[in-house]
Amino acid sequence: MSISRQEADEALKAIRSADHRVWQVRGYRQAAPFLILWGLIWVAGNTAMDFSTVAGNRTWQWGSLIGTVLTVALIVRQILERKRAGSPPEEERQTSASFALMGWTVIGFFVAMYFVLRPLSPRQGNAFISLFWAFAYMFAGAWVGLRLFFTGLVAAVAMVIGFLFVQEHYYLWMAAFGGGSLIVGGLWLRKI
Amino acid sequence: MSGPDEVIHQSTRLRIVASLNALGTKEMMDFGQLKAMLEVTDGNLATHLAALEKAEYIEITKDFVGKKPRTRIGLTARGRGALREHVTYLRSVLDGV
Repeated sequence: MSISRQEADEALKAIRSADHRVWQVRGYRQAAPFLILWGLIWVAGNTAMDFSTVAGNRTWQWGSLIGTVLTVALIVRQILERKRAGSPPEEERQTSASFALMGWTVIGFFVAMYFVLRPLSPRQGNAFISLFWAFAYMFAGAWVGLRLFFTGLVAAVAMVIGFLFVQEHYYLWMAAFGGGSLIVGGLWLRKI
Repeated sequence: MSGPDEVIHQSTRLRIVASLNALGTKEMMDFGQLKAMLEVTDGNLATHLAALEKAEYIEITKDFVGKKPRTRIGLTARGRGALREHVTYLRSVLDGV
C-alpha cells in the first residue's frame, strides 16, 4: 500500500488539526472556572455597590481577596492535574510558558497604566478594571479559540454601553451584563 | 519505512489517534468528548475504537461516576510509536524520499 503526496499532505493536516482541537478544548476547560469565579465576584461587588458605596467597597475587597486565593488554588490544581496526566509534548510546554509570560506582560502594563492614568471617579475605575479583563479574555481568545474571544467581546460591549448610557443603576448593569456574561461564557466553554 | 500504517491510515482512526496523542502520557479522554471533537456517531466511533484496540494502539477503561457509566480512552505506548512512524512516513512521501 502506498499513498500520494496529496493524501500525505491531507493526513498531516488532519493530525495538526486534531492536535490543535485538543489544545483548544483544554484551554476552554481551564479558562471556564476562572470566568465563572470572577463573574460571580463581579455580580456580588457591583450589586452591593448599587445599593451602598460602603457595602460595595467592602464586597469588592473581600471578593478580590477570596477570588485571588481561589484563583491561585485553581492554578495549582490545574498544574498538578497536568503533571498527573504525564508530560505534555515539548511544544505545548513552550506554548504554555509563552502564554503565561504574555499574560504577565499584559497585567504588568495594566497595573502601570492604572497608576499613570489614575481613573478620576469610582465609576471610571470600575469601568477601567472591568474593561481590562474583558479585553484580556478577548486577547486570550484570539489565541485559544473564538468562544473565549466572544465571551470577552460581549462583556466589553456591555460595559461600554453601560458606561456611556446607563446613569442611575450603572453598577447593577455591570453586575448583570459584565459579571453575567462571564458566568454564561464560562458555562459555554465547559459545554464541549 | 516501507509503507503507511494500515490501521491508522484510515481518516477517522487517524484523527482519533492524533487527538489522543495530544494528551499527556497517562491521560485519557471521555468517549463523549472524543465523539464531540471528531463529530462522528456513537456507532462509527465504537467501530473504529474496536479496530484500534485490537491493534493494541489504545486502551479502553469503563467505570462509574456515581451511577453514571463512563468510558475513557487512552493511547498506548505502542499507539504513540505507530503514529510517530506513520508521521515519518507521511513526511517522507511529501519530501519525495
